[in-house]
Amino acid sequence: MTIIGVYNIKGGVGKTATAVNLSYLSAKAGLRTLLWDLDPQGASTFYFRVKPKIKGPKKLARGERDAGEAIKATDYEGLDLLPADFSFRNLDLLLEDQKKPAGRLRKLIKPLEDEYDRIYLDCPPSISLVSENVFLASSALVVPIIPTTLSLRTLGQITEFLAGRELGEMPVWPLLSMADRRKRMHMAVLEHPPANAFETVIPYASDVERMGEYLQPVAEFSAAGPAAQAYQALWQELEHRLALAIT
Amino acid sequence: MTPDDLIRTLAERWAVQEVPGRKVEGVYFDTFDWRLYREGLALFVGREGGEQVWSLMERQSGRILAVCRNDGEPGMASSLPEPMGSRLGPLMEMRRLLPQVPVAGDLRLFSLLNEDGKTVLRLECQESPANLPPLVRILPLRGYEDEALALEQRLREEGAREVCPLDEALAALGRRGGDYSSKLNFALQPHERADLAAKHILLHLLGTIEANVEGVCNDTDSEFLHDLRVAVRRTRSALTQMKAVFEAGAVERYKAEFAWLGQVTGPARDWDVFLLKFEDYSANLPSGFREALAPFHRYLEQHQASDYRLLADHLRSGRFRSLLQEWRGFLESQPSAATTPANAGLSVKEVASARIHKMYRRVMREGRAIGDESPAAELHELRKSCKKLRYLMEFFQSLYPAGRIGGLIKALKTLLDKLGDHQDLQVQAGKLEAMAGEMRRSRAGTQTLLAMGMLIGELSQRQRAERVHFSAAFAQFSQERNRELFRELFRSNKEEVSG
Ligand SMILES: Nc1ncnc2c1ncn2[C@@H]1O[C@H](COP(=O)(O)OP(=O)(O)OP(=O)(O)O)[C@@H](O)[C@H]1O
Ligand SMILES: [Mg+2]
Repeated sequence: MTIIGVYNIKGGVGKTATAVNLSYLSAKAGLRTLLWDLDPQGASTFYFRVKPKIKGPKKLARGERDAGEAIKATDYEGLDLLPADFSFRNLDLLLEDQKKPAGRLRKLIKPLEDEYDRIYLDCPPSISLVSENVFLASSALVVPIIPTTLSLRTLGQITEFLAGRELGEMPVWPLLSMADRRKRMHMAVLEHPPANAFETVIPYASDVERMGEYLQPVAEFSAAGPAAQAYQALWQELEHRLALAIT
Repeated sequence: MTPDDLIRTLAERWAVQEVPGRKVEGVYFDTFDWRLYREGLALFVGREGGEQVWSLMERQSGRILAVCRNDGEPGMASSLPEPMGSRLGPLMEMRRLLPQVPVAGDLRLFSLLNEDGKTVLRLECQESPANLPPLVRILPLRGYEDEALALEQRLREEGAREVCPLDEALAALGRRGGDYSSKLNFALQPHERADLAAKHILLHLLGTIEANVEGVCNDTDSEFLHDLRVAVRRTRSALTQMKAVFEAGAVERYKAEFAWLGQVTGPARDWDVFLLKFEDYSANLPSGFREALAPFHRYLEQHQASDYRLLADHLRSGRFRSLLQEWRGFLESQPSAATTPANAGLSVKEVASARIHKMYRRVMREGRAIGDESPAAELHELRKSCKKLRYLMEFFQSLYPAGRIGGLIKALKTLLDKLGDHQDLQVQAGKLEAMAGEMRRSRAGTQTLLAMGMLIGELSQRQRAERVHFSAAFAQFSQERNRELFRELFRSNKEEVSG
């Protein structure tokens, strides 16, 4: 089982769009795939039309359920979803788990090892205990960034942060996302991409925005569009890199 | 109701979308005597995208218990892919999986969506013949188990059948699952004429013989010959025991012919028994010697194969074919009123009780006479009498209260098993010695001959151990309660039934 964290400190950079489309393509290719919505906002949960269970906080007995019981099948064969409400309940506990708070996510994933070939983590923005958990659990980190100089700085912050953590060999792969070739600054970054960035670039495309209307991954309603094509290429490049990096 | 009608009613609760269906093509496999079916299982082997897929299901619900992909031919338990081998092996024992029911057809697939437009269930639907409600299978989705329960409830209300596709396919062929069994299960009426009841029983046995011929000729598995031989022995026993209900001339002729059949099927069965017991017999040998037995195992296989070929020739011979044909003609003919034999017109229960009681007395007499020093031949005679008694009781079981005769048959079977083990061991130890001699002459290796010597020792030792158990086993069988039951059930006041 390989765990792919889709992460950035910054919000609104295309993390959820990337996680949803990649996990969908992974399942289509026959890999048993789980998408774990770690963001209490529940954006990817929403894209799969799964309603988060909203119960009064008193009813939430802590840690009573393990991840396996909360998993929902999506409409796509081979793709399951662990909805935001589960994370919402269980990630709060991270802060209280005195001993090894950063290892909690890894522990929750452990029992799912035999069930899935790929687990994609859709992360909330910010650096927090949640992100530390993600770093510890992930086999590789995909970091979507908008091609601007400011974004490059956040990328620098992430690598710095990780360098201080002794995370061993975990690769960190920047992904240029929402790239708009009409913008000079974007073009400049595209010409000199950051180290280890994917060759595939996700263009700025209205199809991605329309995912919110269709409530489907882009390939379901616009397979020939530039966004669907780019995600397909990205998924292949990612699998290729995983095969080389993790064995 | 058609699938479309069903979908219309489901649309009240779910939004229903038809998605591209698929073709089903494959075969249900089972042993000749339906061992999986009887355990509530069904094994479907079909093709999916160029691969052969094995699905083991619960027969009633169609729920999948195990799946594997393997291009091998379904056959004997030892050759099955995992996890089928370990799951089915204990059920199949020595039987081979055979293609029982071929299936080909179209499956329609539906997605059921909730109010958010989310798929919460899938449904497989198969149009069924004869205007019956369609066959459906619920494919639940993880995390939506409640919806699956709601659908199950709904389907029950609509009268849709969650029927096993295997049963359906069988029905379409005009067959029923479990339509072969070597077990006897007659429903006789006490006042039926004895000759008609006897013919009914014998016809059934003839059916069993016929059903097994092909499997013997192809050496499909050892159980075909076993069942065939049991049916022949039962036939001979019935002919002898009930000879007074038929014309004497006919009885003598058929008895002789079935004796011939028993005799020509013997050698092949002997090899089968050896091969079946091979592992058990050699289990106690030191491992080096077990390996040295390999040439002996090959020797057994070669002889088994050649005796099967000889047997197949017998079973394809004109003599055998006309025996079955004439025998069927005899059993299906109406009894002629003019030459009615002594007991033909008696009620079946009178004849049955008299015969059983007489045979029971013989068993008791022979059993009591056997002591620790009695020769093995006496045990052999007792075994034959016990078998005859058992056959009689099984033939006429339905004429007596099930609980009581059932217990007696069981007690008798326990005794028979003891006697059987003893005798088999003796016969096989003898044969083994002869075979060792033959292998020595054909220059088998010293190790092999040594290992065979050990095997003979092992069998003799087991035989002695069995002998010690005999008196206890017979005491168990002839306990007061059983004796009373035998008297109560079978002793009749009329003694005019001739034997
Ligand atoms: N390639 C793209 N082209 C056009 N719009 C995009 C693209 N990628 C994402 N968007 C849009 O940008 C918005 C933010 O995207 P997304 O939710 O994927 O980002 P995020 O990093 O997960 O955000 P958050 O940090 O809030 O979770 C969404 O409205 C999405 O439709
Ligand atoms: Mg997001």
